Amino acid sequence: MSDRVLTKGNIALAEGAIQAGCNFYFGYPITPQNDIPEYLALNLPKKGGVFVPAESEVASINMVMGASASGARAMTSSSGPGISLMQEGLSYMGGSELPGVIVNIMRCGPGLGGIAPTQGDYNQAVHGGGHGDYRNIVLAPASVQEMFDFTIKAFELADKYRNPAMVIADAMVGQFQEPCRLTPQSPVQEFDKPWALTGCKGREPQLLKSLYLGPGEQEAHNMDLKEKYDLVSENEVLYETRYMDDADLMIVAFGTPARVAKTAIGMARKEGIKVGLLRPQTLFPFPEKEIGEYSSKTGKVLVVEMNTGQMLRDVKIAAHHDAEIYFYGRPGGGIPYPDDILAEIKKALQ
Amino acid sequence: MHLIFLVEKNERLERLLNEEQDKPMAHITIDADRCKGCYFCVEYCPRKLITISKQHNKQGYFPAEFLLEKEDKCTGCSLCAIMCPDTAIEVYK
Amino acid sequence: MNKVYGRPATLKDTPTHFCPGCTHGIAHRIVAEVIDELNIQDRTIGIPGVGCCVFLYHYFPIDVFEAPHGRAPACATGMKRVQPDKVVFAYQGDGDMAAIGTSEVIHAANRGENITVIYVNNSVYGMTGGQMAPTTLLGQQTTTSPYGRNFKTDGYPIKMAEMLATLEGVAYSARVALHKPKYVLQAKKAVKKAFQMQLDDMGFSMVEMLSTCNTNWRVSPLEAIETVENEMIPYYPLGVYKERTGKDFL
Repeated sequence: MSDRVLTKGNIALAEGAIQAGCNFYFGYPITPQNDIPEYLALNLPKKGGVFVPAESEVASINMVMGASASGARAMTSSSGPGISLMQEGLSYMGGSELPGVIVNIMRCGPGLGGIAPTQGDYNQAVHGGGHGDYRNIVLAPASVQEMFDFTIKAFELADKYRNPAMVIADAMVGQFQEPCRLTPQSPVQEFDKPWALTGCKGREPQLLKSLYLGPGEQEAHNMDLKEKYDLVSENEVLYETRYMDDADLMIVAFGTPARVAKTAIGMARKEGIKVGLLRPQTLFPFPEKEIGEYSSKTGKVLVVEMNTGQMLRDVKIAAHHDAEIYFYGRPGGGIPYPDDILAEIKKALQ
Repeated sequence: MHLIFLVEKNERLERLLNEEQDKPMAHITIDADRCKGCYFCVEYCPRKLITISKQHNKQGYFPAEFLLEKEDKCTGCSLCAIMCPDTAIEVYK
Repeated sequence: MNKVYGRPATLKDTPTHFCPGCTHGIAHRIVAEVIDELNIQDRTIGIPGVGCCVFLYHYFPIDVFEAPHGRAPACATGMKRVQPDKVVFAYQGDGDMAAIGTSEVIHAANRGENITVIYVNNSVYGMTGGQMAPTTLLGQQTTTSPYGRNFKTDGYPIKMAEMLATLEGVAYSARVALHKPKYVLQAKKAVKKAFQMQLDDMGFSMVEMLSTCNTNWRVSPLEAIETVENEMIPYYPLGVYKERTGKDFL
């Protein structure tokens, strides 16, 4: 009997959190991610965990912060409008060097928007909606299996680097069902947290803050954070490539468009068109080096996104200066079909 | 001049702590450099034993000053210390 | 002679940044005295808000967490849920609690989070230079109410102790003052009660402390004391608005 089950992306993500040792969830409902708090409300208490239905996303991120400061693995989840409310908290977590996992199941926007899938929050996640010089670690699952695996990875990376980690997925990946293995591939990594605020018995009192008023203090802190992010960029880039060995065109896409692109690539290859895919799995750190190298070989890059061009800018920066960059974007709930992408591939290769 | 005043006060305190007979009931010390001159203690001492120094402290405030010549009237009620926002007052009984 | 009154152990011998006559200094000291008396220093975690209270970590030798403006009760919720055996207290001003953080404190109180909140109310936003706050009195002139607070455009001052007392999750809600010795002694009793509520797992406890801000009120410290007595107390009556005596959870 296989250990694979048929389940929804959001559920796999929630189960991944439990298996990663997340014992504390604080969140507020918003379509299209309510499966996550509902699953955790039912299952966290069974494992001795704590589920708090917070009164707002502002409260949620601050509860995550307090729990994280106490040394626990804590998580919240929301969609674009709620993540906007969390930006202050994310900045504070970046500045205070606190781990935590924040999930965004992306719906269209801006504003109240709609509930259909989108990738319109790439900029918010990767280039930060919060103030100051900090970055979120950002993972972008494209399958139900990755929703499970990347959530575990997010907890590990957040603890390893003492930084918030986001898992962002368009609403399609959150809502569709696929078979997946709901057990970790390798043992879940744990990290000691001597910095946690647990009461000063037997040690000196400790402080977690992000306020630096003394001369030069803030600058030194910012440089420390930058070094940390450089380390993250050196060590934690994750991506997947398909058919890139002989490609004349590289498609760069993440999430649902990458899945559709795989089908389009299959169709193109049958027609003898040499196209391949580079799918970033971490959006920060971004596979800049790899995009640079591959684009210098292919000369042409097609970026496919469910927005009006957000990852596009990072691809342009990373790509070889001579590469031609093409873009196909479907915002506001529009989802590209394989035929649409095939047409774009052909246009780009003309 | 300020320094000499402080040394005088400490010597007196030493003597007070060691003498057995004719001991006043209580005594306070005011950390002159910690005092910010809010004068809550001046206001609330029920026996009016605290006044304002004519000499400013390192921070530029004119600190509160215990009237040593009236210290036998001090009962150690501690109202001065209770009201001091800077915890600059210690009370001895 | 023995020392009968001095610095509590849970208050560092550090000169404070507070203005002369600011009763934050008294509030800090009585909280420190209570922590000493309850012998909880090594398992207490303090969460200041943002404002003049933000430097709590300079003065209390305990674990301290710096929360965003207004969010201390939410951070305290997260902390207390992870470590129910620790004593978690938030220390906020009126900007922090009665303006930007009102939602967070109401909901922490409503959930009956077993935390203690010390609320220093001086009717203005102090740290930023004395702007009008939701707690500013009618007719009070501040830098953003130069014509005096007007109920038509600015509403009435908000009464947190009364409001929180209406919530079932609240075990203790009291208002005290810090401008005269007998009130300071009452305030300390209230703070001790509040922390004891947490130790007894009774629910949310809050002590609102009417305080001076003579710098931003543009008066001397002694004049500020009169302001608390003659203007604040009539509008913000002192008293215990809720005190749970048994674990009478519904």
